[in-house]
Amino acid sequence: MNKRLNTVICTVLTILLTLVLAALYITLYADRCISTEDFMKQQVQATDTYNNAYDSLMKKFSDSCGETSIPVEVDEKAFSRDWMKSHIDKRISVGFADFDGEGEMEYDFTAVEKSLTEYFEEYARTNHVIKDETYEKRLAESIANAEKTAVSAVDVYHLETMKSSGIWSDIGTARNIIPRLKTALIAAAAVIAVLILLLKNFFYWIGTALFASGCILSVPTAIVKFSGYIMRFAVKDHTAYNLVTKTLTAVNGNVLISGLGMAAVGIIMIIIGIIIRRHKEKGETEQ
Amino acid sequence: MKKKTSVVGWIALPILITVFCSAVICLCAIRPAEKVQTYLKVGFMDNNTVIPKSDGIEGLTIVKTDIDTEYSGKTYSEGEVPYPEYGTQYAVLECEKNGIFVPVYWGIGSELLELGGCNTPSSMPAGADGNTVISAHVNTFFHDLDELKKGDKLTVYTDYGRFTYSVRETIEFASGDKTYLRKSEDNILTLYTCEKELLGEAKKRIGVICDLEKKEFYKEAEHE
Repeated sequence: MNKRLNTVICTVLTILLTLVLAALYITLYADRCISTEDFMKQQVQATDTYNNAYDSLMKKFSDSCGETSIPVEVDEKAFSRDWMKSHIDKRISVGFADFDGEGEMEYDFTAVEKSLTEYFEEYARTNHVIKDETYEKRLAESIANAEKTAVSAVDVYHLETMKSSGIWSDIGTARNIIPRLKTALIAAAAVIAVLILLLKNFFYWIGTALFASGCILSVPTAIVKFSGYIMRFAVKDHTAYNLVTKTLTAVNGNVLISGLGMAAVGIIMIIIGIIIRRHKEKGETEQ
Repeated sequence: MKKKTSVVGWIALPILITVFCSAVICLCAIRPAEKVQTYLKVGFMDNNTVIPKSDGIEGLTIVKTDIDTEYSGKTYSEGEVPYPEYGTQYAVLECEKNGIFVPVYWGIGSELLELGGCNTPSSMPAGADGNTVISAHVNTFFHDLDELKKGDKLTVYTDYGRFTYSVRETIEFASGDKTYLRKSEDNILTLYTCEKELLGEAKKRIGVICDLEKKEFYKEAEHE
């Protein structure tokens, strides 16, 4: 085949392969993050969010102590760190079950109701308060308020807000598309690689595709990392801030390292390809 | 004798391919990147945090607030509408049908438009008599505004009540035209944004006018 035509065809195939490889990496990573709840739970574990969420909840009760006149010890009896951990995990699981139209979050508030009821009864006994309608109303309000505060604290990823704004359903749609997209991209990459193999200088062109897709992944993530973009992000409270920024930082870091790795492999293959080509040309010249 | 191919050419080609592919991906990623930014802003709003003196505008204090969108207590058809402070997020605008969920700030300007919708201070706050005018960027919060149709329901949640509107008509007007932004005898909600343009500035504005269907105040009006 004409050398120039060969080079043009290989260039076009390499451009396609670059886009396919970049898209494939992003798809595979997104699949890892959103196809199951494991990634989200791992991040919660890694960022010590269980303890942060519990401490944050107790701080909220402590801060509102002056308003509610309920000592924080009452709330400490009502909620434990184990309770927080199990409910955070459950909340994430239910979020994912929601994609299949299943799963309703059930909270275990028996300890809350018991603790607050006992406190109110003790208070009534000590201060000779009559258990009338006002008493019952106040008790019900206190229980509802504690439950509402706890529900908000458990939702560390703000799944409820994401659901009401349509974000969670978009993620659900993406989950459905990802398996087919993965298959299509892998097939496309294989076909293009075989076509390049049939033409000349496989190492050079595949190396170019790897180098280009590696740069596409690593350059933006490097900019995000070194500009401190994630740290400028203002989030609702310390627990969510910690979780979200550390998760984004971890994802960014992983993509950066993968991109640099791909680019490095690509450079090595390009060098090998150039060396092979030079040897061939030298051989042809000597003939 | 065959001519040797230049090594410089073979080294430059991967760089050119990288630049070309990067440009293609950047163009394709503009919309997803804006969507991700919007999601992060909407999904993780600060709670009562004051950001003092934004760049370029002296004295602008932006206050983000946590608006309860699940109020289940008693409501009243009459109530008081407090005027918010300039720069304060005083409401959340929601349309369940097409996923519009926008924090609404009292005021106008680029800083506030970055954070959500802006309720023009020359109009009325939600729940008050007259025209409530809210604008937002088309590439972020009001990206799906053009999908609203007659009869679609929107709800504005505030700290003092929630107000349900129904789309009456879709509108289109030139950027300098103030016809739809003026005071009104009717209790309406006017939402508008720029027409979508790939490159350059949009000269047209598009939007909807909605009739107020239901007022639900959380506190009863004090009768003098």
